[in-house]
Amino acid sequence: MTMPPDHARVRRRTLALLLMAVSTSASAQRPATAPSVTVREAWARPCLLGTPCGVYVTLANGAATAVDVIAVTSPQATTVEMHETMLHGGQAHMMAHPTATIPPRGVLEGRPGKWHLMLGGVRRALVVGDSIALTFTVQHQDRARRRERIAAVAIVRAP
Amino acid sequence: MAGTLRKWLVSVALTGGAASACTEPALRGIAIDPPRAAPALAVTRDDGTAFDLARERGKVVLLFFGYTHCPDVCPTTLADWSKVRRALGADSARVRFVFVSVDPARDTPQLAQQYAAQFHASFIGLSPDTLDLPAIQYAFGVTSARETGTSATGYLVSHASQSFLVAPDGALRVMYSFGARVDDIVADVRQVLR
Ligand SMILES: [Cu+2]
Repeated sequence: MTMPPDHARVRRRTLALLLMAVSTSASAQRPATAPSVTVREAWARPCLLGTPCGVYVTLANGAATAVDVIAVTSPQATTVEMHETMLHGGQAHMMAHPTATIPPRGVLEGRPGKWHLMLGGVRRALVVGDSIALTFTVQHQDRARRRERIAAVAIVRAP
Repeated sequence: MAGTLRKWLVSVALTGGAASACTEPALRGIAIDPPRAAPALAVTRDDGTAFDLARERGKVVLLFFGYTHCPDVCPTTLADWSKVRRALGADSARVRFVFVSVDPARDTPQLAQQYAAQFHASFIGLSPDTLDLPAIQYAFGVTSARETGTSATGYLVSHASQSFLVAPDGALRVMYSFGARVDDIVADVRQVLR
């Protein structure tokens, strides 16, 4: 595997964007209480430039009411879709879902062959050690319909 | 011949199969019973050389049909193969890991090869000619279909999620469901190499 010469620069820029993303979500939409949704795990596989990249994130909901993930964005991708892989008679299909639900005090598990994010228009090939910044917008199914933004960083793991 | 083999398999099952010392241990994947000669698969590679499955006798060939725009099932299978390769140690020199694109419209031989090589430099990525692909898929008993409108990033392709093991004698011996255990593939490869 060859590493692009400007790899280090890309990673620095990623980190800068990431810090920006974290501070934006903290200041712009500070929830009334501590965030009830936390990121358990976030990782990805290497990905070629010009192809969609799969990212696996597991989100945990500490609240007593369900939470919907209503949007996911990344400064490194033009689109982030929530997908579910389904196997019908051995045939693999993917379905895009506009939203996903984290059950009360439960998790929404990102896992190969199941629920995952698909990033389109990723500006560089992803290689082992790269990080991908993600922002999840979630909405509580409580009376206040409270919204939160959750920042996550997925790391590209060795295959 | 097939009937004899089936009778033999039944007797193996009745006598305890893998536990019995005089018989081969059972394969852990889905055994292709009776094994049949692997179909022809000859594809020009990105470097202009030919990959010809018929010339891989003496080696185990693991085969998977996918596409490079596949963000989940295909990279997961290839990542599992890279674990298989590591677990095999020196035996991996007698194994070929071959990814075959079912999306030649987007996958050039170069892209298919780059995709496979992300998981190990020795992995082979092939993109058959659009005109050859249907016959290849038919022969292996797999299908694929374009699915439009499901993604903002271009069409998706539904495709077979299984992978195949071709034994050193050229027989199609085992099929693996998506998510098959790495240990099981390693055990089967070792067994057919014996
Ligand atoms: Cu997907």
